[in-house]
Amino acid sequence: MARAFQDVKEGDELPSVVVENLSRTDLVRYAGASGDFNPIHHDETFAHMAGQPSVFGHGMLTAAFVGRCVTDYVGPENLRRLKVRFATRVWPGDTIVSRGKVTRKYEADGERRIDGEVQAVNQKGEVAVSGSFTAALAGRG
Amino acid sequence: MSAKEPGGEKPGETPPSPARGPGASEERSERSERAPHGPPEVIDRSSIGVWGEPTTMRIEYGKVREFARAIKDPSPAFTGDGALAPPTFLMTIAHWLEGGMGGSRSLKLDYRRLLHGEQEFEYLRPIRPGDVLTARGRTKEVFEKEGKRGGKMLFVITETEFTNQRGEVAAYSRSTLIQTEGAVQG
Repeated sequence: MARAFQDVKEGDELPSVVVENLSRTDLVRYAGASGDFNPIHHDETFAHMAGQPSVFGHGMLTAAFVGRCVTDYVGPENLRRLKVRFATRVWPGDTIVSRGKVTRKYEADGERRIDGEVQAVNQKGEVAVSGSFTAALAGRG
Repeated sequence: MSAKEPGGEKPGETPPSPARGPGASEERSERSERAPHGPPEVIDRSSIGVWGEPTTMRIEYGKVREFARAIKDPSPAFTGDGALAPPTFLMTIAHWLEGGMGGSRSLKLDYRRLLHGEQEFEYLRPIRPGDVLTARGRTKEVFEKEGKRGGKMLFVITETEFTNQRGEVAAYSRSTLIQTEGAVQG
């Protein structure tokens, strides 16, 4: 559920979203759903020829995990901006934890807004995606 | 991981859109046989800021459901009456645009040396199944930076605008593509 503006403080943490043991099937499913058929993400032979140990995840799939972390907290209809930066790659078998925090509360364009930071980290603690968001929250009652 | 990733920037992703279309995988598979180094392509700056041909797409409920499942998001907001499209759903439309996100093909970028560094979405209106979105793309900005480990990096920011059937701009998508001087592995 979306939170009310009054119930959010700067520094509040977003509940984390965990995706365990990402599989090759997950990557194929995302390729089909998104239309991103770059073979580096589903063709093991191609990935080996390109010098990679295996296929690896679409950056936008990890970005979507981060997006879920944000929309679970603010409500998808309230999201105004989402920005991600791609860092370390995500590999089959990885467990990805998306987390974030509120950094700022303010009013702009007639809306009550919050800004926040988000990141997705793998099981080794390496950052796969970092980013930021802006959301508009309604008041309570 | 690639040993040639630009220091400090560490973009870990190949650009999703530009590798689309017939011949994309063939071109990529020839990567190792081609000279990875060479002068950056000449940028035709007259194309910067010019919107490309629009593409119109109807947002389909089945596609939204399929996408929500693929990103492992079980939120009820993406199902049933009044369903919304998940925030990164717009990527599914970008792949239908000529030249990929922002029509960056006009810049003659070398996709073997290109990384998707950043992605930003700005949301102005909700996007729901049944909406008809018209997308058009442009190259917004092109600039060079010195890589931390040496070598020039070319930054290209493309922008896609999504307008709904009521003529309202519903969203913008902005992609930062980074062309490195050396070959990008993967």
